[in-house]
Amino acid sequence: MPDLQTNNWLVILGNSSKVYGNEFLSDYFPRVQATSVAWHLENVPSQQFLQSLSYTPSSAVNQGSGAVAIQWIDTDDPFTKFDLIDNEDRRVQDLIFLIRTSLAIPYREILSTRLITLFCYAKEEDPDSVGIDTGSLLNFYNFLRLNTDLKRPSITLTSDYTIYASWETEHKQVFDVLFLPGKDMDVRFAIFKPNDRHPEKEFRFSGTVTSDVLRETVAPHGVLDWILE
Amino acid sequence: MKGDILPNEDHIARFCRPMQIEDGQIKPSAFIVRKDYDDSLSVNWLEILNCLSREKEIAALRNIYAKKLYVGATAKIAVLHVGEVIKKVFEASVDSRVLEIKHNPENNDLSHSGIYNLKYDDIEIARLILQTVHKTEIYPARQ
Repeated sequence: MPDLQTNNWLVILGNSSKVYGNEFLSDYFPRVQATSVAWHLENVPSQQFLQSLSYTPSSAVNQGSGAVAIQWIDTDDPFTKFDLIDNEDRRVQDLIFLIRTSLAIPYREILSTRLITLFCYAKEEDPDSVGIDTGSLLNFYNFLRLNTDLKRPSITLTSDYTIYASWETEHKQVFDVLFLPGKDMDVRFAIFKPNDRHPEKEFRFSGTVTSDVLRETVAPHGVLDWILE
Repeated sequence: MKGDILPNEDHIARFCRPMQIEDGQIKPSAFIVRKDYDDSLSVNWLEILNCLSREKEIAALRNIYAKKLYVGATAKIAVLHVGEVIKKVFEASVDSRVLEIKHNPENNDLSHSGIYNLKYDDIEIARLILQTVHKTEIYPARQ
């Protein structure tokens, strides 16, 4: 069981406030949100399946931000596929709801609407699919929380339903990030940009790191010049 | 025949799903294989369709896709040149990746082929493949 006396756990108590041990999270979870898409978030019982979130303060990238790992109430009925899919869907909805209502995340409404659109595309093709991989989405959410000064990325899904974010400029500068699922919070990234001394040639660099150190990993390659506001 | 290497001068098409497209632009996620499921990236060999024009090849592909896939309203078909893809990836990838594009016919899709030697996290390669797609060679997957 989490120790509620420390800063490391966030508990969702129904529709009431959220408490980090001795600090409050200031994000506002509205009861009703207008949305133009078919899937109405206001009808999502978002907190119902969220038991707790662990919170790891980070000073490595952005002061005041932290990584979040969600623990879910284990109420899944393992005997029916329908229930498993249904619960997985709700987990995706919960995470999108978190993004939509996290004031620290710029473009939160556009991003969440885009994620819902992608989820709907995936479900339209295959109703039995996960829509969006929850591990990848959680990884993406953590990255957004740690990096609140980003330009809005282009977001698509791979065939595994993992999140693929891209920042591209008209000057042929590209920063691609694949948010991998799993507890490791790994991301695969690739940088493409013109070679500074030989513009006709292309500089390329890629690798795998955890999402919390992605920013400092790519910073020496000038990426921040075109992905930050 | 299954396993035949496609000629460098031929063309392949990749079905790009709506979730791999934003603002009408195909993204590299369309060229990523699934982890644990795919040993190759599915494509279709155009020349084996024996059509007389690209227009007819695309029409034939639309028929094939309509029978075997759910084709979303914004899905697209990206046409690639076999030799160009292989050359680009070999010359530009960090590990000088040698892709193989082989015929892999299926019962309901005799033109089905695959791009081999890809991994689920090869985003650099996916971007390189996308760079070989010419803007004039992207078509709606639905009529």
